[in-house]
Amino acid sequence: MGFQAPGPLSPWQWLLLLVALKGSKATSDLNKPTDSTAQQEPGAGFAASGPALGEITVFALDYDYVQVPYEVTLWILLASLAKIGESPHLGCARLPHHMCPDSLSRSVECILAGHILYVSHKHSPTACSASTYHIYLSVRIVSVANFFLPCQRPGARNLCIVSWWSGPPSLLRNSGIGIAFFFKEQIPRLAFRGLEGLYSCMQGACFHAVSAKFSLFHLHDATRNNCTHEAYIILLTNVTPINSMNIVLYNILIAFTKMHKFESIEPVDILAGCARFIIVGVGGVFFGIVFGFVSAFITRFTQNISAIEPLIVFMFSYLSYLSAETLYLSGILAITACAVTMKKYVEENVSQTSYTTIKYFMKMLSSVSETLIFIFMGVSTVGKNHEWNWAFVGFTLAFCLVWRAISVFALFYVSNRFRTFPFSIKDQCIIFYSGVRGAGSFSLAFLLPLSLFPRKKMFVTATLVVIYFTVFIQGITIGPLVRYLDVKKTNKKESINEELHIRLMDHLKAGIEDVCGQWSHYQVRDKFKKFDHKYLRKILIRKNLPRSSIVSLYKKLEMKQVLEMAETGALSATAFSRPHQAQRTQGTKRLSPEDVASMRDLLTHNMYQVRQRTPSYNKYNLKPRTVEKQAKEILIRRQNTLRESMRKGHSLPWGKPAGAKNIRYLSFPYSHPQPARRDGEAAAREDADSSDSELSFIMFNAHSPTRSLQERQQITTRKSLNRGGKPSGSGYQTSPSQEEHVGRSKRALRPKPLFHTVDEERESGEESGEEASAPGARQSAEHRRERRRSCSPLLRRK
Amino acid sequence: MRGKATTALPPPSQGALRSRVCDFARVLAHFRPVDDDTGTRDPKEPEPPNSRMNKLRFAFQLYDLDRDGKISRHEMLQVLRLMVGVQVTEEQLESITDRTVQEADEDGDGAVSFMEFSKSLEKMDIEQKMSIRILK
Repeated sequence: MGFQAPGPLSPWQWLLLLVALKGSKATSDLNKPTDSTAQQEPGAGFAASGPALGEITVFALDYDYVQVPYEVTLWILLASLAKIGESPHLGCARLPHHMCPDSLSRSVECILAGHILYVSHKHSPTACSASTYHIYLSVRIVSVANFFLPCQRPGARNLCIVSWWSGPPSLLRNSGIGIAFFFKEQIPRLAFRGLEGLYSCMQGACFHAVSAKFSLFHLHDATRNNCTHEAYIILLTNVTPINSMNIVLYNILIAFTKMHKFESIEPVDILAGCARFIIVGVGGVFFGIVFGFVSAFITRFTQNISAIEPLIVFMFSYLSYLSAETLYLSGILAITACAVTMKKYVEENVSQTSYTTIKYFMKMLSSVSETLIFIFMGVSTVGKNHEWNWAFVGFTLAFCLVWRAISVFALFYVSNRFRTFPFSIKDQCIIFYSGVRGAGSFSLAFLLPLSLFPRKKMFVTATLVVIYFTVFIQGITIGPLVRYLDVKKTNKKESINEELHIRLMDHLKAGIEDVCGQWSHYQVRDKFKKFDHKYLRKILIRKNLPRSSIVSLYKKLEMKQVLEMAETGALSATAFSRPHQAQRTQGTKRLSPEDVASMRDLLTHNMYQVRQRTPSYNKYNLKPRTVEKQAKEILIRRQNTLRESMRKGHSLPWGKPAGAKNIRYLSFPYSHPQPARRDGEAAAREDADSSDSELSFIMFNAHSPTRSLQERQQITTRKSLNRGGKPSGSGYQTSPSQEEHVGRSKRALRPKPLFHTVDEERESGEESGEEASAPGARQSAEHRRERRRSCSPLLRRK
Repeated sequence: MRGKATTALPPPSQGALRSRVCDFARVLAHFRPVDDDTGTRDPKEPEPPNSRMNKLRFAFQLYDLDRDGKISRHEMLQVLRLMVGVQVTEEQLESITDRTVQEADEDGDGAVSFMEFSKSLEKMDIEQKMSIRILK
């Protein structure tokens, strides 16, 4: 079924193949003369190779100089061009896409490529030695790990799922296959020569290295993103952590085999092996996390040199891989952990262009390295490195399938007991069926040291068979299977509504669980988030701009909408109209700095006037000098902060009046000593929290019911003006009642002559009131102005 | 935001602890995971408190502070402000609220009724979101 290959290839691709064929024939012809001359003049690569020494030729040909990179580039290009050939818009007649998945055609091309190479060179090309292969593999791992990470939120939530699903399955499967083979050996009829128990374990390790890209691809392709979210996560964990576990096991087993040749294995060694397994895993993760934090920290300072940001990300990932490998720890786990920890912080630190660069460079790397690995595969397929053994291959295949099924179903059974909503059988079947082997297992088989494994060729053959089987058969049939099973669609359309309500429900649930006293994983996540916000973000994120996911989602959606609008040229939706209006009003109202200065002078003068007007104020009568001093200090400090923010150049004049009037009230020691005391407290708190100086007023409102109307007015205006951005826990609790209170009191207020400024202030207070004030005074000033425009209809509406 | 959960409870009545506990139990009942055998339920009986509709209604009540059956833009803004506990600019909050209401509102009255609310959440797995496993 897989070899209806010539059909899907377009004529375009045939052309390419012919060209390549010609090219490689040419190279093989050239190789012979250049080899001889190269021996004569080893260092004179740049000299003419054909003609004799001493002559200067105008044209010369030296292929040997560029052979290796030339061929590699040519093959990469070929594979990429083949991708174009597969894409829908060329309009060539071929099988429908879902029937002929990407992996399929890729494998087919590899085989062809391998064939061509083999025919032309009569041996494996120089680019395909094991050491270079190792490099390609590691590059691939880097790119895959970074590329296929699930987005941060589900990842964090499903951390326990990830750990549960990576360790036990790999162990189970590997040991399963090993045991199965071992027992098969015992049956004398089916035994092979020279194949001992350990080797069978090796097989287990090799054959279960499930391919990352392909299984995901199949799942994607076949279900078109219809897989349920949780199952998707599980499959993702199937990929990288399990592969890493496999590689770890592989290394351990190689070590065991080495020992087995020369000594006997004792139980101590087995225990040591188990301990090694754990250490390798944990150590790899630890390395990854350390490197992740370091790179996140570094990106904090790369504000002005965004060109090096992608470099930092890549180099640190690769470095974590290499460092882990030096200590024989798991490199893949290191990279995965590094990427996961880095992603959250780097995403916020790097500029948008760097982020795009990183994303697309990763994609490019992964496709390039995957191509190369497939070329290797193709080459190996066609070469003379095979040892075909029907029984071995057949058993391998059978055992792989059987053991995968067993592990998937057994583990799901166990985990379903702990879940509120168990996975359906359908999901389990899909996960079982999409275990596609690919380049990963091929790499492991290819890298088996020949000295330890005299039957290596048989291994390689069997691996290749398993790969092709799973890729072709399972790849082609998973589509119809999914349709048959009718997997539930989860439409991942993002909407702000959903995000908001999901968050609300999470909070709700956590609250109820708090009351219950029950400890669930939400609390763990909340604790982690608190820790994260408190310490990590301050260290690792530039400018310390905390953003919630709701806001970032909103920004993303707005940007998308803007881009769409820009493309279609349509007018904005209603969601835009208000900010646009605000922008327009801001634009018209922007005054020149001289006007601003004159207004400020006017206001400062006004301030003192009011003070004189108040009858009860008499500075000779007032006892507490300290209170007055504090009030003055507050006044001065507020003036300074406002002046500073104005000096920054953004602010608009309307910011000042509210502040000035506010100052008036602040510094206005009433007949009550209490307000002044509170001002003192406010001063103290202002020191602590400059942008949230107004936070203190929220506390005051707890006492509001007991005050007189005047005070209430004062306090509420103050509160409405100054309500800070970060309400604390108590602030949260009292805020709903506060809101109602404020609303009621506002409605009850009547403008009094003494407080004639209350009206304007109330309006300006309304503008910024009940609302989080931004860190920059500019924004708050703008808001106040904007609110002034837009809030009066709001007031009326109320 | 946890405080919101406590505001979901009715105010204490003259220190009667037992009634408080009953109220809490009623709230908690909303969070029981949904049974699978709803098919055998008698349709004439009122829905159990942990049905999807009742869970949604409970969540709706949290938004709808004045109990008028609709979530106005102002109420949505308040809830949003409580939840976005970081220094978000007011402009952004307003825009987010506008967008939220715009997305959910279908009859164009500028407020989200219960039906619109449940429709906007139809794709969400409410039964899983609003269930506490220990209550099963």
